[in-house]
Amino acid sequence: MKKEIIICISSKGRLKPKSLNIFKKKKLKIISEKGERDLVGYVKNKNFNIKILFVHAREAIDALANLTADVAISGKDLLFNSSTNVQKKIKLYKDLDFGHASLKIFKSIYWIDCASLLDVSEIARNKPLKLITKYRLLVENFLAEKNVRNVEVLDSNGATEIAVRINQASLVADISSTGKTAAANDLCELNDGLILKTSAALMVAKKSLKKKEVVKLLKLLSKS
Amino acid sequence: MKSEKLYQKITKLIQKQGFKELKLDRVIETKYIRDENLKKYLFTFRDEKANKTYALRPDLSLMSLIQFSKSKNTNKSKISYSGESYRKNKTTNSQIGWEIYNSNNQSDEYEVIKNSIEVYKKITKKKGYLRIGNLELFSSVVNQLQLPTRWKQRIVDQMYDKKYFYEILKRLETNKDLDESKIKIDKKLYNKMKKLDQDKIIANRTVKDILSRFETKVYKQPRPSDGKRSVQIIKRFLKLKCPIEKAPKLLSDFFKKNKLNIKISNDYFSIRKNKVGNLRIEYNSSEIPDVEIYSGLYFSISNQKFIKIISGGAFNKLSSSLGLRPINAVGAAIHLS
Repeated sequence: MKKEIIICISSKGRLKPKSLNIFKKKKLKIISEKGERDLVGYVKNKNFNIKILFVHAREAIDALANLTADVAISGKDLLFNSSTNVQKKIKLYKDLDFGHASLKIFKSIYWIDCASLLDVSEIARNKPLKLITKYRLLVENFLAEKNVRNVEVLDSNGATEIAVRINQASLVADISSTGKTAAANDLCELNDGLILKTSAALMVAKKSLKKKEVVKLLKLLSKS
Repeated sequence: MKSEKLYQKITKLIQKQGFKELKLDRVIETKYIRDENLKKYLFTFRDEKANKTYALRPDLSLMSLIQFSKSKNTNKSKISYSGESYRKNKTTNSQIGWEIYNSNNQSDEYEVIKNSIEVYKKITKKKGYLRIGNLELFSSVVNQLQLPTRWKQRIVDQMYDKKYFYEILKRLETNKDLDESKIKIDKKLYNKMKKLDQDKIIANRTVKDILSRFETKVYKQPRPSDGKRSVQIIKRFLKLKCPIEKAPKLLSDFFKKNKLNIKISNDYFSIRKNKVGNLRIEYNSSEIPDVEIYSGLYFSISNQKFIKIISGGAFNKLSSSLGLRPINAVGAAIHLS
């Protein structure tokens, strides 16, 4: 009996079909007992005994950190936004050529006097500004690095882009690949507001690298 | 063990000089920490009931100022403190400091520097350097330049972060602050927005505020020649250094040559000897701290390998900027890592 390897894959969004495609290419057929909506799948062949958990891309990172999973396909942005304690337990094994996007700071298109972070600093000098994001850690580090003061970072749990239109916040930091959602919400990016370029990546729990089967599977999945 | 002995030696010396020990709290409300470089390394926790965020104290000097401000003492007070500060980028960081609150003259600056020299002597008999700079001099130079107020403020605000500071100078030098193609589009929007209710709120700002700042930004740009000249003066100023005795003349000559209306007297610096014990004392314009605590005098003592051991200066504006009662202060600290 082969040892079971647990892999986390995004349950929805753009990452899911491309992640599944990797398995298909490697002739690893995923069987789901309850059909397409099943959140658990299996791959069983003579080489591997794999259990696949379809979870939120963010939860995939947590699963690696607490060893609920051995391997995950998730966004690099989510890994870098997690705490140092989580990051040090995970190895970024290979960058994958999909899920490309950027984490950027956006402002209202009507803020015609604000084009850069320097403008943000100047505006915030008179009255502190609020910035809403799902990426608190990355954003706070970025603002500190660029010496932007008086900007309070708020946590967002839902549709971040709308926060500016409803005056909940003055700025937004979010992942964007085409910029269409931002534009549809009257937002545009700051000239120097690029925080991080991201893509999907194959990640592994460092402790799982001790398992022969995991290493073998990683080699197979990362072969182009 | 060795460091424990040293710790006691320094504490004893400071108390002998009349600095009374102030016991400091271990936690600080994060609203008092304005410096972005400090913010990065805080150990924070949140009190949901009180709706307040606290951090383990990242710096003892800041703690002592906050605690002193809560007393109603308006007399000149010599305070010392010691203990650990907590930052994520440093495992242990013992700090001993000596400060004069409600200070009012140059002799207090001199006393703090003199005390710092004595502490250095207790640590080592080896040669070292005492470098003195002055942040007010830098601000005065920038204020004399032919630049819009907005640009002057930018330069002074960003001087603590060297990398970003030089990026700003580059923008000023190459006149690359505004993107002409974007400005064209924004001007169209500007004309539309002029017709809107000027009190309408957009992303927490009034239309009036946005338009007035846009006008200042677009129509009050520095002339390219002024931008270049200003950057040259700033860069040349930051290269000035000499033995402290010669500093007033060096600076006066520089101001005269660059037509800057700044007068500096021969007794501008509280210390005028070029050497005390094994310490060489020099003026250095680029002696700028990496934290935004100080205003005016800033100094550091480093060893032969240029490793900073003691640093200090005047922080007269800090308490007001934190919303506390105004306190003129000068002090220094040693970090025993």
